[in-house]
Amino acid sequence: MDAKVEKAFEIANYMATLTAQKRILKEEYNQSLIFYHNGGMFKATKELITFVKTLTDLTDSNQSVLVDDNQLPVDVADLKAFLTTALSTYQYAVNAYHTAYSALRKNRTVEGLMLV
Amino acid sequence: MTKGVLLFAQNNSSVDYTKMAVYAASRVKKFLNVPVTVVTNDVNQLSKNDILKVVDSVIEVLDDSPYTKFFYDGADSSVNLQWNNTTRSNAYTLTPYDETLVIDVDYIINSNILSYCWEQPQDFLIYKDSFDLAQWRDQREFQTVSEYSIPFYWATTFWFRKSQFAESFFDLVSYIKANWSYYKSVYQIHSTNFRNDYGFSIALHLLAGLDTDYLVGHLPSKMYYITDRDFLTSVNDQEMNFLIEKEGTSNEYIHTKTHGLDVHVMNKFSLLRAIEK
Repeated sequence: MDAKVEKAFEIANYMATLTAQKRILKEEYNQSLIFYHNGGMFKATKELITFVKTLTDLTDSNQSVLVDDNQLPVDVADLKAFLTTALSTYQYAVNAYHTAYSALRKNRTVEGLMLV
Repeated sequence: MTKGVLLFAQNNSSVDYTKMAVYAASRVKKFLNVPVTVVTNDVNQLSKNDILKVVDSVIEVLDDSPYTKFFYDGADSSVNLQWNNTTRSNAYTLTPYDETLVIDVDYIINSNILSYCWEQPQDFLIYKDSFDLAQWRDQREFQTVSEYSIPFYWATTFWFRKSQFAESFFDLVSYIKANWSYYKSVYQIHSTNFRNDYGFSIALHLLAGLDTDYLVGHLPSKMYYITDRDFLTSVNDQEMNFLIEKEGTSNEYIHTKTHGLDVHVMNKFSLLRAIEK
């Protein structure tokens, strides 16, 4: 096979592996955003964090009811503690995602991608 | 309230489900730390494994399944074998626990995400959303039970609390299984074999119509899976390595891996090879 064609196939294999791995990394990130509180299941999204921060800033109460990801109302007795948990979950997840993604980008071979 | 995990290991002539069950039990102990009960048709084979540390109790149940199916080992190799899958609907009466997580023995736990089940208020949790590690494959068969039909729910992993609802649900699944030729026609399912996923999906539809999401809860995250056209090449700690079927080919694969995701490994042969490494 012509060397240039062989190189093109090598790159095609690399791109297919990179794409598959990027897709899985995103799923791992999405899963690590999940946390539990008082029987409820939540995802530490930017929307949730912003909403809870708004609640703590604009209301006098540190207690509220939030609807979880299974659409069930969950009593949150300490909104500030909940916000801290959501923030730390988000930061841990996004940092892990960034670290893994950066390592992925640095590797230019299929073998290298599998060592990340 | 007692809690634990129930594993079904119904051996056939070529696939040693008991070996997979012992491995799955070790993962349950490591990540979820709850008691494990194995339901099997082959206690002798199960006892050949080192089960004392990971299996808390064993229930012997013979599976009288009339079904066979092709078990693939990658895209190029397959064998037609007995498919013993009809005892799942007895989970409610078999389980020794008040709150039970049932997982297939080829569902490999790599995280503690399912520990949520025992912390939440709903009586029944199941997966509807799924994720094929091969991006290109048509996933419609795992979205609805047939082309113009009802949502697909996975019987691979589910959780239930002993309750009137759960009991009725399993009674319905047994009824659907006993009258499979009728229900498969009503729901336009082409498969001759009764499949637990179909039985569960139909039972949920009979109980709740299309408002199933108001009746049962979703397990956290998604049902991640590879099909039996792919290979699991290794598993250790929280990491799994795979060869995933490449689009447009029959014998080319893409190497990929997961970290911390629970994965349903449908290729039993490759799972057994990875366990034995």
